[in-house]
Amino acid sequence: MSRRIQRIASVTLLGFRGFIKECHLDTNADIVILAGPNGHGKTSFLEGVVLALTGHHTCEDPGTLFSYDQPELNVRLDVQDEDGILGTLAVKGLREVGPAPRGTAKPFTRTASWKGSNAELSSVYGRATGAPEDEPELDARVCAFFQDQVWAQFDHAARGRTLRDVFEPVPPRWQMAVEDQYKGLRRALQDLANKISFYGSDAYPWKEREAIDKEFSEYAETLRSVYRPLAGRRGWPAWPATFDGSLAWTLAEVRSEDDERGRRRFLERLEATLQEEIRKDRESLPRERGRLESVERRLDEIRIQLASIQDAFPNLDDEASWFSGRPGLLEILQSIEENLTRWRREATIAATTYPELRAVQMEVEAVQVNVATRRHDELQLWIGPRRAAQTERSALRAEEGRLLEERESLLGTSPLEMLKPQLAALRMENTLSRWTRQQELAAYDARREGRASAARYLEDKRAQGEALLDAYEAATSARTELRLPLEKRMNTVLRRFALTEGLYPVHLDSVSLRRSGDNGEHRAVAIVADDKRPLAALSTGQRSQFAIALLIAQNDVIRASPGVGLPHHVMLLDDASSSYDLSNLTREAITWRKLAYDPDRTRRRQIFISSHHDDLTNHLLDLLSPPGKSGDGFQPSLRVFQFKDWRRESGPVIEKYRVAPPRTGEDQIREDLARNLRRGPP
Amino acid sequence: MDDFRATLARFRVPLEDNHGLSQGVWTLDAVYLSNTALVLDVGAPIGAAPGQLPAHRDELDRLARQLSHRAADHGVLRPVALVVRVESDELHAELNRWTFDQDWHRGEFLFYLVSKDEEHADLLRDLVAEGETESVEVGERLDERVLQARVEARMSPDHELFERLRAALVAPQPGSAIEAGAGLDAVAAWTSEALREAEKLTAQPTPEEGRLA
Repeated sequence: MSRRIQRIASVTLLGFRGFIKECHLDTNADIVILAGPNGHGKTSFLEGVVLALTGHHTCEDPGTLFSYDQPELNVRLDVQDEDGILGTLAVKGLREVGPAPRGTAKPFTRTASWKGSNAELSSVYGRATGAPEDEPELDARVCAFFQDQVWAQFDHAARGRTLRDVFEPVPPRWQMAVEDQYKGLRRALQDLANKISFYGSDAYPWKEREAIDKEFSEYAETLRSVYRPLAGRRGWPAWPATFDGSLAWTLAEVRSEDDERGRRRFLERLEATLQEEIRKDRESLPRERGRLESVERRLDEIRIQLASIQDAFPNLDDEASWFSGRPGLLEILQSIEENLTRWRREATIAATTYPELRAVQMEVEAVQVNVATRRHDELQLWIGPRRAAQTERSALRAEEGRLLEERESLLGTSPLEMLKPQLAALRMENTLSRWTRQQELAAYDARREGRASAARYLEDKRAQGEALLDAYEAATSARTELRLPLEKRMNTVLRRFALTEGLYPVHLDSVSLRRSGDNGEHRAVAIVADDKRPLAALSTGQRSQFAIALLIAQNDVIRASPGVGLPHHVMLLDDASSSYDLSNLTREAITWRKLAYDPDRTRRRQIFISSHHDDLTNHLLDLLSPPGKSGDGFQPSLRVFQFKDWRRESGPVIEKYRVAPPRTGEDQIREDLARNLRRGPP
Repeated sequence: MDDFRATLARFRVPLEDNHGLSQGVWTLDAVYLSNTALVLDVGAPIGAAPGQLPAHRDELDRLARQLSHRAADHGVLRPVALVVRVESDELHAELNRWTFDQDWHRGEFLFYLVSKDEEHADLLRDLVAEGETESVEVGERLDERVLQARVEARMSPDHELFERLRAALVAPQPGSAIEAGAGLDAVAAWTSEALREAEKLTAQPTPEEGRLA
């Protein structure tokens, strides 16, 4: 359809929804108002026009578009193009099977013809891309508004493609591949950044560098202190060639594996020799022999005594604690032996006076004193030696501790004894571990220049990657393509409304949509108020204002797009007035007047508006009243269809009106008003 | 605004003080009539006492309705818009409440507040103009060819990574899909080579992440 429809001159409906009999309306006007109560066919009328104009309907079951028990539906639009050429758009539907009113329908047939020749029909998407697929939903979303489906106006509720899909038609698989590249590249660049951070740093990256330095320095001091007093003794290991005379070594000389083994051998010999020297030294020490011998003799005796106690009572600590308590069993038996005779006497007296103590008396009578005495003696015989052994062992251990201290004191006069702690510090595993770490440190320092080169190299690579990402993002961004024109146009329309604080101006964000059951990713614009409120946070009226603004913005953007275009100048608004207050209804009228009564024919729209509230309709009629003829002969026009009734056998009963422009010429009115004003303000 | 064809009258006169207002009166600067609307350009009363605002509001109401009715007598029905310039923030806040007072305007006239000259001129132009004055310009559709051209325009000819990804960036034929993952492979190969080269430069393996400080 290469021609563009300037105006729908008439609409004919038959078998469509409530239009049971044929209904023909002459809609040859700039604004067409459909007024009347609910359920009289206004919305159905607009749905029929949208179906014929775009091929779109929102019914899950197209069978519901048919009039009750009608086998066929027909919608025909007689149209005029921008040059006044006449044409026809028609939709025909046949019910396939199933009972009325539901049931399946064959695909609708939609045709267009201009002066008897058929014309091609394609959707916005098809026109933009040359793709054969027909996708009418978007076409409907940019020309029609239905109050009960206000959410459908916004991208996130779209079932098909969005306007961004049209303007940024990146094929889904291609897009996904590129975005995968983004992710891979981003990961790689992050990895490079980490490496650069490592290579580019002068500081040794291991946290314990300072600790290693400290430990190693202490180790060196220890080694020096061990070696120095013994240097020159027979059997003392030769100092390694890699060490200088002062026990400091150059790290550059400790790299090779041979050196590692050499160090190990040296340390082993050093340790063994040291042990041997300590032993020999102790043997040759002058001693306080008398005292030392006495101490050691007593220590030997104590060890023997402790061993015999251990042999006699392997579980001494456990067993000595058995039968203890407060009092212990032994004490209880002892008490029975001493007191039972008196307790029996007292229990007898008590039970006579106090019957509740009879049970006590019986228990006391049952106890046999001679048995208790025997058990006491037996237990005493068993536990007594254990308690005595425990006491003896404690005393022996205390004495042993004192004697050991004294013995150590007597032996401690040897200078080599002082080396014993250092010997412990020279344990092989500690030494070699420190040595290895120190070696790594040396190697790290030695490769500083290489690291810096690698850092520069990787930084260059990273910059290349970043530049490519920047280029991708700049190229695929909607900032300059679609978002800004839409945003600007929406705000122009919204500015005319009375909006509460924080709503204006609105902002559009570029987002991606992924819908269930849909393989591709859709590009969308998300609308947020100036104070960041999303659509969902707005009131019904505010959301309608945003939807109307978006409708007009999208309509304008498509019309202005070379290679895309919109094949008609028609806008349809169902019940757009019901969610507005009086002020905003008036404000919206300004927009409709601009669109419908524009002297520039190429920008002018034909507007269909339905309204179900009489007061609002009358107000709207005043607001949309057509002006007089303009200088170039354009005479704006307004028609009203009053849906008075709906009958089951035929459908709507409609009264038709033309709204006359002012009888007085517009210029004359201006002069009159101006003359009055010049006399002075009213 | 002299270029407005729709200008009916321009003057700067105070409105008649029917309420004996002691501080400030509205000034009617211009009246415009176009196919779109009947627009009254009004200056807010400077120095109006807060207690007198209801009376000021009545004055404005009378002005709007009289002009509207006079036009209607000739059969001219238009949305009537009052564009009110107000410089004081305090007065602006007070007058802004009138915008939402349906009991007052009953939708018979609109009440727009502006404070800046530029905003004032833009709003007047928008309300008076017959038709939309704003032109809509949309850039070209971003198809594969355009995308490649744009990326190339930002790349130096010797951009190594871009050269490697070029094949994966755009499908050989419009409508045909490229092999998913081809770009990822190219990126992975490029980064691996870069790391190997870096290792050579340092003469040591790159450290494990866990050993980094």
